[in-house]
Amino acid sequence: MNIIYHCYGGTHSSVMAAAVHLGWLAGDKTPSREEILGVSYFDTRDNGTRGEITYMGDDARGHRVYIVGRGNSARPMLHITHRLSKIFGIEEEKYRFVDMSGHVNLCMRVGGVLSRKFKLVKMGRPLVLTGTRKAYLAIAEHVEEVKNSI
Amino acid sequence: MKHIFYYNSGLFPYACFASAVHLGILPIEPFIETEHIQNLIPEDTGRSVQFYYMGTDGYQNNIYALWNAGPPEIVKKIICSFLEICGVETGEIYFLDTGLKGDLHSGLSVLLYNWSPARTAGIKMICRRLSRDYEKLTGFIIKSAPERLTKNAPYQIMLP
Repeated sequence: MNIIYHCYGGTHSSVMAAAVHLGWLAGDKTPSREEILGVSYFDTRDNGTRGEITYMGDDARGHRVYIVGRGNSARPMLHITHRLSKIFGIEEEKYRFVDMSGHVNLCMRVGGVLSRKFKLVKMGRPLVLTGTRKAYLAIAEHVEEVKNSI
Repeated sequence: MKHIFYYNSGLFPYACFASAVHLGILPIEPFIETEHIQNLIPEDTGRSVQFYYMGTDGYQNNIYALWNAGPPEIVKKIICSFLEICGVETGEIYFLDTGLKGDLHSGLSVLLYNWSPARTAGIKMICRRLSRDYEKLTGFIIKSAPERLTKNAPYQIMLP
């Protein structure tokens, strides 16, 4: 199965979710700032990559894990992919979209805009890291639910 | 076999009309009759994302219409990358953004069309709007897919 974690920019909450899912980060304790920054794609992707479903890795059970940033187009994205699966005969069991944007807090939002949109990385990244660490356990719990349900 | 997606980002179903022209359901020359248009427009157009398989052209290319789904560059990437991860060959996918923008008039025409008591007024407004933009629309189709619109193509049957 293809597990696709999605959020607004595809570079913070969805990346964290994929990292937890793949076991790169432990799900029961909040990682350090350095550990978070060590995760591929964290706070590095910009608007130009929106819509690109990016492969992150295979989990222990062979499920393929992806991330995608979809801007404000969550509903259109789900509708389009649902229609595509009908048209092209793709079984719905072959993929699952998981929305991680519900875990994005104010710190992540403000920091993300500063870092990614305005390229003020020095100002935005510390905020994003603080916000991500705050949201981390909830993200990890969500990922655990997803893993248990597939 | 190619998969050709006609797209526009607003409420007005330009993509639907573009694919109809491509398939020969609507003529290249401006000649619009209300009932032809009415048969083409989905009942719930404008309410949410619209995505339809419209048919197969004379070259066995599959034609789709997609509109009101957000920024075209994101939509295009979602389509291509989703099909790719699901193992569908994406080399033959063409995403054609009509580039035609809606405005208050076109939005209102679609909203009226969706509201049963005002459907007749809505369809008239849609036809008027389409007449105005028809040349631009067909120009776009001819420019973007000239080889698929030759006169010998079996689908190129003009409406009376």
